Amino acid sequence: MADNPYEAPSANLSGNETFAAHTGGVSQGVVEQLRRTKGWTRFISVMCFILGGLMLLGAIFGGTVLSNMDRSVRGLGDLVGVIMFIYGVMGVLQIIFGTKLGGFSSAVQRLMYSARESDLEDALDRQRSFWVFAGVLVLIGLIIAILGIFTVYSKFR
Amino acid sequence: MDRPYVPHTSSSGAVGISGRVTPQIIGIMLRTKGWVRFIAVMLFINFGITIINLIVTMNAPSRFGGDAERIGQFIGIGVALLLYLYPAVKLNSYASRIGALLQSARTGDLEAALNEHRGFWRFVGIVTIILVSIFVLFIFIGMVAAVSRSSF
Repeated sequence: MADNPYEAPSANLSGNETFAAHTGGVSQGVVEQLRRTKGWTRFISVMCFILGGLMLLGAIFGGTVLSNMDRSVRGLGDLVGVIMFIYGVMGVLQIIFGTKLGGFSSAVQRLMYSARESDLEDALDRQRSFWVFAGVLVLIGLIIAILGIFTVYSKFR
Repeated sequence: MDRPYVPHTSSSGAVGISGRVTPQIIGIMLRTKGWVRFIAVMLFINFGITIINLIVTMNAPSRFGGDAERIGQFIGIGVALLLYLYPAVKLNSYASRIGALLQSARTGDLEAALNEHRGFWRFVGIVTIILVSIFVLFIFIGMVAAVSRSSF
């Protein structure tokens, strides 16, 4: 019941206010921040899928072309084959990034409609999973870079 | 309860009317913080390496001569600032806000942390739009060039 019984009736057209006020669940400010993040993460997720798909197609197409080449060109093809393999792995990683970001966006979408604690936990856990995945990849990249520097240094010493 | 007149709060609320965040959410954010800080530090290091690299090349004798090379180096610094420094600052702020949230467990701190998180993704989105636009523009220019060459 409103404090002022004589005030004009009003309707909640946005639907956002319903959360904390009626369910005692997630606050509107938290949902609003996540709602404004969702569009960008969805966009990046779609871009990851497109880029990853193109990279995978490129790797498969390149591999097929190489396998159809005659043996004299295949000596060069070994190096290109390795590059195609790395290309394919990067494509798969892009798709995993896209899946994780898309999952976060979908969890935020569910949270916007339900305002339930479990949906907020799900959304935050999905973004945690994304950062863990990104962090592990950066760590692997760092180790490879350090190993590469040591290898080059030992060769030219 | 010490004060009998305090308003009721729902125990089911994650970040509800009471303005407190549940231990489950605190746990998730605690496990997020370290990785976000790590990526921010790596971005700062990348930025530093890029700047050192550019300073070294700027002080080296010019291979091609002229102002065009210098302008290119300044553009390189600008791109490094844009691509590394800003996201690093945003992610570092996100990790710091999570740190404040872990101390206070207040809804306001969770909102502040999520605001930094949103800022990071907005930046990544805008940069992606710019890069895709440049890519499409180059394809368009290439197509126009190919068509005009074939018509002669």
